[in-house]
Amino acid sequence: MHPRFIVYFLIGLAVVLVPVFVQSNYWIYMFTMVGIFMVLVSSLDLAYGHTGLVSLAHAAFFGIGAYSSAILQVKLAVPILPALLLGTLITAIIAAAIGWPMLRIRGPYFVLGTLAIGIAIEIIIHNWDGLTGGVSLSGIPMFPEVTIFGTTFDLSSKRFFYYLVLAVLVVTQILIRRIVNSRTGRTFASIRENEDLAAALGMNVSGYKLISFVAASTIAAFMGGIYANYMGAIEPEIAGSHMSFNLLVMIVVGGTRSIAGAVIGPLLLWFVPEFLEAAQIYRPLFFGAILIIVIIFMPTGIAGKLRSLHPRMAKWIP
Amino acid sequence: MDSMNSSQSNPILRTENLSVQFGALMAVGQLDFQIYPGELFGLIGPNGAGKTTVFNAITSTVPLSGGDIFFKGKSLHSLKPHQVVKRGIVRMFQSATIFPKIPVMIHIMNGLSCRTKSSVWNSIIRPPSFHKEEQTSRQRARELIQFTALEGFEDHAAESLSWAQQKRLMLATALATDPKLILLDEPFAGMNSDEIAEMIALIQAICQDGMTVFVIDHNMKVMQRICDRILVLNFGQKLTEGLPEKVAQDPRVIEAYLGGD
Repeated sequence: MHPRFIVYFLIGLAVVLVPVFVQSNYWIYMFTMVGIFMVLVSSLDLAYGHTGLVSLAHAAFFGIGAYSSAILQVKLAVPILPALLLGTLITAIIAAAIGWPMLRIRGPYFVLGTLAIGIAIEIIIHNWDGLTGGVSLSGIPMFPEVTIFGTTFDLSSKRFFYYLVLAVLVVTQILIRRIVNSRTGRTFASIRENEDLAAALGMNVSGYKLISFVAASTIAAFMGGIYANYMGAIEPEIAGSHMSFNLLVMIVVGGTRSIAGAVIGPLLLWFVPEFLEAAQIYRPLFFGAILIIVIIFMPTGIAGKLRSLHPRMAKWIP
Repeated sequence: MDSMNSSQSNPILRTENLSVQFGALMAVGQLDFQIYPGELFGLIGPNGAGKTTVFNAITSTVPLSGGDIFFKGKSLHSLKPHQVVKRGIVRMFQSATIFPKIPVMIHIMNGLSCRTKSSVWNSIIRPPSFHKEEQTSRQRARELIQFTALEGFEDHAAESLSWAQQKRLMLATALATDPKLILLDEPFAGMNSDEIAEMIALIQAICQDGMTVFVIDHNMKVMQRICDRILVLNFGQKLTEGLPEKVAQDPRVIEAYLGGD
């Protein structure tokens, strides 16, 4: 076996064994949160990195997914799994309804449009008290205990959520890799590289942009639903443009169209500030400094820079 | 194709009073012409005559201000650019318009996208039909790479190719859409004599395969050599149309296009 795959296997094994060796619930929570960010950044990469759609509304769909699923559970007593799937479906429909007119505009106008949507959705969630609970929606049920062959599993535990988020992350990456390495992914890349030429070669540019936008939003919504159950209470800020901006910075810093980029960005910009007190206090400064350094010295992100160091290195950075 | 054959078959492309107006400027005014199957039809005219606008109108990238365009007897009115390609018309742009970062093989496979069917679901679940389609696409792309003499560059980014290679790559990508009519906007621009000769050979080979070619270029000598018929445009209006040697001797063409000497 190639040494590269042995290293990947060992990294994977270490990630799987984290809850076995880490006893602190705080650290499990931290790793789970960074996993959630990795899923969000990966899904944003589908729209931004692969298709060239700079969306500042990505967190809005994370929020809509979280709220849809939570409201179905809290207000209508829908069981967790159907609520999660229904919440994701509702968000996909909303993303399609928003994306259909939005994706007909290009470049900075599209970015500004998505910014407006992000702000509007946060305000709507904040002010629609009767449905969303206003400043906070609490009482979202925990996952129940499940007994299989006489063994009881506590699905509300931090460790279970760690593995759940890890599974979602792995499935997300597999889905994205499969889409990207296909006719659909090639069309996304064509649109990113030259939209007019893509249309001139018979590609339905609006249709494929919509597919990319809705697929990215749907993954974010599914993660949002899980996040709601994990936290037990959610706030409108999770859907805000500030959160979307953070996700965009993570992908720019980590590097687009790369698994490593989707890992590095959240680790550096979410995990490290939480870990280092100084970085936590000066988080906006830390964010800004990293962003400026990367834009100037690593325009393709950290993963892109590492890949460019040597052709052999490029093979090691997935 | 000679004029007798032209008159005997139905035109593959026909315009009726084709007009395109930008504000107060009439870029193309009430233009009528026909192109017949298998023909190599040329469009010449001075800068700003409206030649590229005619291509833009045919490919639905600019709206018509009046008139209509018929392809195989059916109107192209209100079609979107990608729907025009599905009907069988493709265009090669004036400059080497490419997908810069995409490798040559994938670049050409992008041209095949409008003729393949694999959906986003198929790309996820990957049934046997997905793998078969990918294999067929790769095989067709390899054939086109060979046809355009781009062997050895399969994994090279399009932007790393020379100007002439980029033009050939665009031709290969356009051919991948399986067109019946190909529009070539200044295919010889920026090329040296050897590269022009290679491009001419490719265009003639395409024609021999039965495809119809509609070409714009400034190089009158080349156009005279390769075209079956030539249409001359000046200020958006048809100046004359006919066999290359007759067009070249037309005093109005000499005055408008060749400078009147």
